[in-house]
Amino acid sequence: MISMPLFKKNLKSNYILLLVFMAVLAMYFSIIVGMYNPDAMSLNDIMLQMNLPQQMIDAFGFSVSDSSFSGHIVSFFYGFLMLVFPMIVYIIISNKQVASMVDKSSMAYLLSTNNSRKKIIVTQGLFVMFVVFLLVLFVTIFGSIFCLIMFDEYFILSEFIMLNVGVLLLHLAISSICFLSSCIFNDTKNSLLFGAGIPIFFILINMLKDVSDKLDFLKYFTIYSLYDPNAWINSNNIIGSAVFLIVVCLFCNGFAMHYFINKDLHI
Amino acid sequence: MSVIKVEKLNKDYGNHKGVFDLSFDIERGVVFGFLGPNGAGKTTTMRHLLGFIKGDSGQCLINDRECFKNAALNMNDIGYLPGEISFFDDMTGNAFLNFMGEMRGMKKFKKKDYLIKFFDIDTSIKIKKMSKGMKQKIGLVCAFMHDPDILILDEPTSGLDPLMQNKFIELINMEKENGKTILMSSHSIEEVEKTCDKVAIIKQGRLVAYEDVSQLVLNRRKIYRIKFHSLLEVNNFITEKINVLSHQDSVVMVEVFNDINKLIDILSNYKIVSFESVVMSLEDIFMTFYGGENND
Repeated sequence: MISMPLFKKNLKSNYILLLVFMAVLAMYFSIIVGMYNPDAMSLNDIMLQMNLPQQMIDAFGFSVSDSSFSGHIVSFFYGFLMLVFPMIVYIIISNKQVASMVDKSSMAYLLSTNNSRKKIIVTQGLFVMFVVFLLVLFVTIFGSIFCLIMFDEYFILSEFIMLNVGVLLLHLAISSICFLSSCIFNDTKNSLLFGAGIPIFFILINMLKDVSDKLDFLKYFTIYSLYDPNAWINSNNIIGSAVFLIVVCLFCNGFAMHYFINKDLHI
Repeated sequence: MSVIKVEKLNKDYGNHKGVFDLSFDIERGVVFGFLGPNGAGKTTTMRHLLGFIKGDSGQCLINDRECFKNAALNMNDIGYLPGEISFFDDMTGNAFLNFMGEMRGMKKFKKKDYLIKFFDIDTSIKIKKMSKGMKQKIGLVCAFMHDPDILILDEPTSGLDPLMQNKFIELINMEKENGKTILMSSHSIEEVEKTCDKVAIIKQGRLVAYEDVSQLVLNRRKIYRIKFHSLLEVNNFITEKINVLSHQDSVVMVEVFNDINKLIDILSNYKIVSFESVVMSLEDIFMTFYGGENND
């Protein structure tokens, strides 16, 4: 079903990028979650004292309504950082997996072997999903260990795992859009225009909608609205959005593969 | 039995680009040269055979299997050298070849090692640091190393120095003896003469000629540039029974069909400084080959 040599090659040419981003995620997680102090004033107040405008704090999702430990993690890590960093990784990798190879004609070598297009493209697509899974799994494991050591009395493992299951589905859905773009376009330029443009557009809308109540209607224009971290923590009202994210992921990946298998390749 | 068969293939990219109503077939064990200027549709035809693109109409068959649907199955028997060389840059030559071997599920690497020695390649260098000729040699090893029955080579000698071009010709002749079927595109009539049994000329996507190479060589018009020792000799020479195209000072251009011996006989009576054949464009050769027939 998949080509192991190709999967291994993907791993080999991307592991440095993955390690760097895992290190960055671990660092931010430690710093930001490590700042939690139930007795001190909230980070929101600290930022206000630094004369940062409230709207800016809101845009980055750093406004805290919930002073619990979970609330702290959600606001400061899952509101922005955990949305953006994995996204950068799979934008880069999705483009490399297909469009860049077609652009540079190196895809010709893969297809001149006795592996079907289907096998090649399924391998490439699964690798993107694997990367998303790996990053979220890493944060889940690292985060759990970090929190168990530092904030044992406030940390609830099951809530944290659910939070990450949610973010995993979100990223699988968005990465499938990047992969679809990579499969449709024959050059890096157009692949990135949509493959990076759409997710970045979504995240900008997501930031903008938090700035003011008047912009609340924008939530209908971004896929990030389908991930409400607080809902996932409480396992409350998540089925609908989870199903929707899974459908997006399956549809985009399926369509991407179907499109690639049947298209003309000028390589 | 034909191994490669193209039937009434059409692929229109607009602007007279593409291939139009193209048909030819290649028998087992034949080395087939595909000649034509840039943008004539040689690569496009090869991409059809490899199943990278679908024709608008008509069909391509390899071993009687339709090419687009059976691409992966066909690849068991095909070695392909792309016209544009771009590998996975971050690999060394050896890592790339091993990777391709793994992708193909190859068990035996004897031929790979043999070819690396044959072309005298240093495979420990990163591909992005290699010169064009070295990359081309890596590409050739990659196309031949799994010992396929059919070879599709897109401008195989581009970037190779003359020594390596001869090595390549040696390799093709060796493979021919082993009964391989080879389709190669080229700009160079000399290269085709030395290797191919049959030749097809393609121009603006249409087949304009299809011949045995032996016929081509036999009927070939050649032009020679002869420099004489003195003007007096030139004046004598141009009265001989020979096709003189032009003469200026002590240099004479002579046209010869089929038999060069007559010219040599005549020349033996003269004192000449130099004697060289003029490289002719493909089109010139074929226009004369077909008696100036209008192929447009």
